[in-house]
Amino acid sequence: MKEVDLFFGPQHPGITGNFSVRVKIDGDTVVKAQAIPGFLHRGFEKLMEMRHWMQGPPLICRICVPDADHSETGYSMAVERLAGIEVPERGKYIRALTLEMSRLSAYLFYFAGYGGSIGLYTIAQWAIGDRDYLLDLYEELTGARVYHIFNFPGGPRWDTPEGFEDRVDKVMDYLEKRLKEYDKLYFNNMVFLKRSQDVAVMKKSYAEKMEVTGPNARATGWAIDVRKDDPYAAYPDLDFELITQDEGDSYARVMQRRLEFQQSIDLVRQITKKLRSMPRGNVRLIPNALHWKIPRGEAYAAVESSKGELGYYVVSDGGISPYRMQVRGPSISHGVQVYEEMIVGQRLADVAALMFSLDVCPPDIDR
Amino acid sequence: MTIKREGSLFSPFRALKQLGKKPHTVQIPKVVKPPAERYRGFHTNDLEKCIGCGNCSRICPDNAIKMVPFPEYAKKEPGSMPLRPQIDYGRCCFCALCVEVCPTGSLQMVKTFTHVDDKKESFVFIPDSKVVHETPDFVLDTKDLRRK
Repeated sequence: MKEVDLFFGPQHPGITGNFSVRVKIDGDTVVKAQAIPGFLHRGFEKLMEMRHWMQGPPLICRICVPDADHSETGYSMAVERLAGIEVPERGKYIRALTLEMSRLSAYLFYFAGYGGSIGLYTIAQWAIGDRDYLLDLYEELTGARVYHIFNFPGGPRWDTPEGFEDRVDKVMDYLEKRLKEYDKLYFNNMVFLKRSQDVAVMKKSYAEKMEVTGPNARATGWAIDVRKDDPYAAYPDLDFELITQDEGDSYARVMQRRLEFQQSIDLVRQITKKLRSMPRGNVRLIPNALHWKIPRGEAYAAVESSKGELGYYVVSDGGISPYRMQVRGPSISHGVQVYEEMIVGQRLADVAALMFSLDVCPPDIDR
Repeated sequence: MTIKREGSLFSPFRALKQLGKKPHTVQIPKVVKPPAERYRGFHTNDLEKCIGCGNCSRICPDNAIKMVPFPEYAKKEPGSMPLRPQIDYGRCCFCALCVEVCPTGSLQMVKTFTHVDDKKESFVFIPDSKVVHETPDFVLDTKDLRRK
């Protein structure tokens, strides 16, 4: 049969954001694929060189839209390492709380995206609706719903409002209850199982070779997690075990996130319990935002975002702005190198589904 | 952790029981959801308290704040300048860094955030103590929004 070239995206509804894939198909089987990123290049790394150290978070949170807090925290941690400052204990817990809530909201986005890509639109609407309760909490804590601009070098901006921990726990109870309904409607749905099992199987050795990180790597049986390997914020004090699976197919990747969703709910509960028992007030060291000079040197700090390892490499020449900053995002490996190879041999209908299954974030690729 | 790999043909019908539940959404403008206490909306500035130091203008990551002359506020206090901030909401990203560095606390953010106009000039204004576009009285408490 004659091979045909097809452009998936950047206008295709099945593609996550501004991203395109050129696929060569034979019948409806993909024989070759080429990822075409670059539609969303905003030059974050260069722009950061023109900003003060404290002006970073309002810009950096835009690198990965559904998971903004991890970007802010990664950058803040690199600057803190460079400046040699330690965040107060309560600040660390509030930071961990925002990170886990961010993971929960990003996973809900993921469930919505993958559900939509295989035709389960009910799940897409449920997940986006449930995510709004987390955004309400963010609004109450940070003053904004999507770009929180909350985690700064030195610690989170403000302490939690009065009674906030109780409201967080209520939302966690609600999400846990909803997760059982998701199980019935989504994770045990025959359509979901048929469309995801044994699709695009990734082996552990391949994941290691291609520097796959995050839930995608753990779904292949590779137990890596920055929260365990290089603990930060309050994670050294939190009790959790790494979840891994062996199959490495689309089903395992989705279920990995479903299991980690439950784990994140447990982590949030641990954090709120601890926050209640801690004295309020001291959450942040506030340097002079306008004239803060960081000693000459370089530092790298990574966080475990909902998509994988998100690292920030920052170089200072002793001035009031970064000399150079580089971002190590998880999506460049997942969305470009891995995706191009894994989609070969799959059906045309899986082009969008695999992109969602790998949780590719195009703004993170382009930066 | 292991998971069962089995599905059910009847699982889609379970969604039907959601039909009797309240929707997530509210009917704007009949029902307006109140923003949180810390919501970062438009600015207010106490022009008497402001000393025109320009810290807000220098910290703004979007260059949205310009200091404009206000000769009537010329004071003899040291460090006081006859200038007041003018904010371009076409550029502002509502990060509140300006509020954070304000040494007198005169610059604040309020919960109102809606402005619609076909003239781009209307997005540039000098905040004073008055809140721009007071939002209507809120008619719903967030507690009622949570699904039962």
